[in-house]
Amino acid sequence: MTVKVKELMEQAELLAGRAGLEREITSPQVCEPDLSSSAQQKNMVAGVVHLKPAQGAYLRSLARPERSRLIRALVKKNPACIVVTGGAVSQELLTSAEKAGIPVFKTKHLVRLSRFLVEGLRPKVSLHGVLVEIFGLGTLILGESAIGKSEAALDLVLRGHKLAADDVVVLEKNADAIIGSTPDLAADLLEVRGLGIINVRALYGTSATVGSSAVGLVVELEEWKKGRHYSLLGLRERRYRILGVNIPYLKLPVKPGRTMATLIEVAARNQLLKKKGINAARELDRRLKRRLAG
Amino acid sequence: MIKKEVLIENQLGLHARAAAQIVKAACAFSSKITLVKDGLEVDGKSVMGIMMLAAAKGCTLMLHADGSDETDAVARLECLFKDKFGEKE
Repeated sequence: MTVKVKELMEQAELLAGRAGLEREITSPQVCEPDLSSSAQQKNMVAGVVHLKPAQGAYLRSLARPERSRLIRALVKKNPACIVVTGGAVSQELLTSAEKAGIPVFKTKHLVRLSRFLVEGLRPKVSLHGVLVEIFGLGTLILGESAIGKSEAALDLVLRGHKLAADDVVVLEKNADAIIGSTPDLAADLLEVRGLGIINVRALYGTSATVGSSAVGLVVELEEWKKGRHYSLLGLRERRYRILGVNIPYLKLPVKPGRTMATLIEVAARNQLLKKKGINAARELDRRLKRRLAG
Repeated sequence: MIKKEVLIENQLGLHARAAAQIVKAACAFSSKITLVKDGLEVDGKSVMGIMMLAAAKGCTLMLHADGSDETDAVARLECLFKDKFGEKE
């Protein structure tokens, strides 16, 4: 994942280096060099460099040749961009950065800028599926086109659950959680074959949708194939890996007469129960073993 | 699996009607069809997905087809892009 320097324009004021706005930032780490120490400058990483107010004051306190030397050294490190907070900005810094095509920004809200970087550079992936929040559990429904994912989602919404994303689900890793959301363009919309695109929020009210949801269960719908084995007991728990995180997973065969929404809702309830340590299959197994032991 | 790069040449880009034409064409094939732009991967048989790419004129997309009729599928879809989705200039 990368963030382009120009995306910072909304977070901070551009002072110089417009030519470098297409540069890419690959790490959310903001480097804060101490210009008075030569050792630290050597370790500086080329990413976003933040010059603290004290550094600006230090630059101003120096005689011109020394100041120019430090600024040249800083620019030579080729940071993606330089962010200055507080105080006046040295004209020499602006001139050198402009020449080198390194954007210089000024901001009062470094925290906001930093958060923007962290969010923008989080591992991200998009999947074809539907995300519905069922009793607070983000349930990602996968399966081939036209298998009935959106129809199941509509049924779930009618039962009071919340639609988070239809068709394209953007998944981001936040610590150990996978957060799913919809691209802005598709917010609140659902596509149902034969009906076209419908606005779930307009039809069913604000409580029918949710902006994002942590994925706690993955359900894959699959056409029922004769001879294929499907889980009978549910003793073995399967996982689906998203961005390195394992999420409980199950495959549900679709067949006329099986109401997918009911099954998915039960799967979500069951998952919530399992989280509390109640597992029906294991319970049955235990009872049976007790009986057999006499 | 076949991968092919396509350029969007029509003035309006991948708007709703163009997206619908792609889906209509894609659904005639059994292969799994995927469109990719800037790391966003969408199902070629879903009109919403294609519109989510927000692909304007001049963009290039990758067209992926995987299945028994993948060659024909890619050829048919490529034609649509070249034909500018029947748009008049």
